[in-house]
Amino acid sequence: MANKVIDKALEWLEDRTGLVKPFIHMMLHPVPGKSTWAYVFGTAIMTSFIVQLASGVALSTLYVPSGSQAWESIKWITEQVPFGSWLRATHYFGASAMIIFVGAHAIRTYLFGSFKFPRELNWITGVFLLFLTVAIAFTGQVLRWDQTAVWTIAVGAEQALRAPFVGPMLVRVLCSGDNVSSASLSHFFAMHVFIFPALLVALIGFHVWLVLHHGISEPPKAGKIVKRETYREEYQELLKKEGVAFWPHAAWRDAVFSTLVVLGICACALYFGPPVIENPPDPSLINAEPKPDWYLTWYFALLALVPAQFEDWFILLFPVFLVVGMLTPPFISNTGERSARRRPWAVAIVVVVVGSVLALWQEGVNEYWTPRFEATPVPKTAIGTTDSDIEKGAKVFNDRGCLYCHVISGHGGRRGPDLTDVGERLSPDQITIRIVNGGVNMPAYAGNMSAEELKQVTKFLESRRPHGLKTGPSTHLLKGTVPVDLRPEQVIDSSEVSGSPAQKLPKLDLAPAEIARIAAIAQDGMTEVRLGKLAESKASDPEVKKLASLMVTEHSAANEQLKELAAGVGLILPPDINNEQKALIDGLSELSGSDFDKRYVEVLMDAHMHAITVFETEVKEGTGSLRDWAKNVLRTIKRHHHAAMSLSK
Amino acid sequence: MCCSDEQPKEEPKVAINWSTVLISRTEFLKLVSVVCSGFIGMIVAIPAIGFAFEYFLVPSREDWIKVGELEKFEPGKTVAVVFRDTTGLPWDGDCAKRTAWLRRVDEGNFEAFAVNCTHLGCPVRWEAGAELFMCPCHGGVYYSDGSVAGGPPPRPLHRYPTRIAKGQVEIKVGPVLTEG
Repeated sequence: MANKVIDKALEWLEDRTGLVKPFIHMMLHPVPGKSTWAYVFGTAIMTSFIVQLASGVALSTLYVPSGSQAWESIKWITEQVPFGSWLRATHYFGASAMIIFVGAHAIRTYLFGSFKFPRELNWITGVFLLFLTVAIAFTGQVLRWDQTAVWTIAVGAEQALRAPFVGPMLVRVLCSGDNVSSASLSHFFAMHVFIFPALLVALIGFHVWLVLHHGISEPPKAGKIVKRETYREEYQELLKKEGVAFWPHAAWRDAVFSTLVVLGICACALYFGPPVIENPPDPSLINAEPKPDWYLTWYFALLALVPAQFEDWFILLFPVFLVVGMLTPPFISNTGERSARRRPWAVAIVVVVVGSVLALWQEGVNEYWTPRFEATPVPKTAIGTTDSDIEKGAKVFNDRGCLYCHVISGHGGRRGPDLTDVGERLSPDQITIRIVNGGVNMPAYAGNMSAEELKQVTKFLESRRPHGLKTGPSTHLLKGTVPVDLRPEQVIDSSEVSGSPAQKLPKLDLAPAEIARIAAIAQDGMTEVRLGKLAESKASDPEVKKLASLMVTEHSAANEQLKELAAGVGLILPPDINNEQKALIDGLSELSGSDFDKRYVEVLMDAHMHAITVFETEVKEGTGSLRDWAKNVLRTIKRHHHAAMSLSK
Repeated sequence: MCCSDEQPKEEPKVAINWSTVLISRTEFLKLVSVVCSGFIGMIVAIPAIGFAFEYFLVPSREDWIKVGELEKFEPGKTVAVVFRDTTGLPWDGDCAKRTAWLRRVDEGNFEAFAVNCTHLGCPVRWEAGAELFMCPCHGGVYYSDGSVAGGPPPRPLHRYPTRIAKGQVEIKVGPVLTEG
């Protein structure tokens, strides 16, 4: 009886709207019989999106998108509104689910070659849907309007600023003004609640229409080639032979998986709760560490790891590269093999991309490039001695910021090298030089530390060795016991510092790059003198001997000049040559006769050619008396190089 | 029959036939419809776009703001000073608050630094023990005078002009994020 009523009702509906027949047609349309669980991800995305729409509308009745009240309203939703916390959590995990399944769906359609003829537009609309999904998720994170949100906009603006010509304009677009304010929030709200959802609904509609129009792509078979002229016929043949009605033979898998997705979102929401809102959106609170949500952590890590000189290019071109890269498959390979078994490049690309994203994600979680401001000081047990200088040195290490970037016995940050056993690796002079001069990522403490403190912290670091500490000979820093290869003016002797012990060393006015350059020049100069002395005694050709003597005389003079100039600007030069240079000298001393002569001249040519580059850089980018010195000595270097070249003929 | 006065029946097309648009009623009506639609579209879109991007028409401001009395600041020390953004909206609340790092160099000289790291804009902290500004995002470090000590920042910290007026220290603030 009831069936007759329903049938009549449907008849009336079809007659008045014409929509019943197309709906039934869509439900029962044939799909390839062997479609499997791999095909459920598209529907999973749609299900997550519906969860987002529902939870989003609910949130929009409670949330206040005003700069001064958003945070309060979220707190109220989380703490006071019945089920408010669960609602927020559902919206967060729904977003995560959307992102995960968008990724899974993209990989599946790529590996199945579903983007090939005639489904190119399915792929293209899909790519735009992917980027829209990330965009709507990102704007959603900002709507939390907590401390991270406010700084995220600032950081995004600084990146946009790198764009040539339009940089400042882009900043204004992102912030909706010159700075982050309530206007920024209002604009992000309009994007997240109106513009992006409308675009998503429209594009999803188009995407689903295309899927219905072309039919679900059949599972690929190795050897089955897509040809434009024959594909449509073959597809229709396949449907005739083994096609099954979408409803229920394929739809049931979608229904089951989507149910699992919804249950999963709810379970995560109940168990983990919503993202914790820690600090209010007050930009005057300085101790902020802005971080994107998990799906952008890999990009966050990528930006941190890109070398500084490529950063601008990277920030501007990487997104373009991503979009263009993802749009190319249907244009460069829309016919041919579909099976992943015959498409090694496709598989390689997926493996590399997924692997990279996972590796970068791991790096982003560890964040070794961040100083650890919350590190606890090295405790007495790790210091391991009651020597007062070493204890004071440990205090300097703890108080002067060293702890933030270096680890000792498990305490500290990982921005710089682990110093737990540094006394074993570096001599006290090397430690001192590093602290005073800094490095590319390390400040030069010359102007920030007194000579007394420097002595103490060096002693402390020198005592850091494995298997308990050994107070090694600290004679290098005591007056009157200067080792042979260290000249007096290279010793920091606090007993000679006049005035109070807290008097600071002259502050170094040099860029880290220049400091490194001058140190390298000093070591090269010392190497030339030693090589020259070796050649003076060992060379067989009198011309080579003459050249060697010239090297000794002129380089010794240059070394002296450099030492004086360096002392004048407060720069400490390395006391000895490095291991590579030592090995070079050892290698040469094993040769003799004309072999030695030939090799020595070769070494001279290479070394001086390299030196010319370094000196020219110093002339271009250096400062003050050091640059002027480099200008003069450059002529000498060129002359040496020329002399070596003529001898090599 | 040879000559018939009837015009051959035309197949209706969507596109305008520009060669006959001024002589054929059909083509002319198409043009009228398109122009009207375009006009409505413009009327609707221009204000909407204008509202969305009105901040381009509002000029940037630079204002002198007070940050505290002269005696409050010790020479040789760097402290944080909090002020309100002058370009804000009435309902900004706390999100219009800003901080600057102020250092009294000596009796009459002050240096004021923006907190934005010049690398990617994260707020830098002043570490008094180390006398260094440190950025939590990628480890950028600056000396007490704002010059780069290490890490990825490409430029020294942005400086606000300072002055002392009527016993009050003032700094001149403007748009920090848009400076190149």
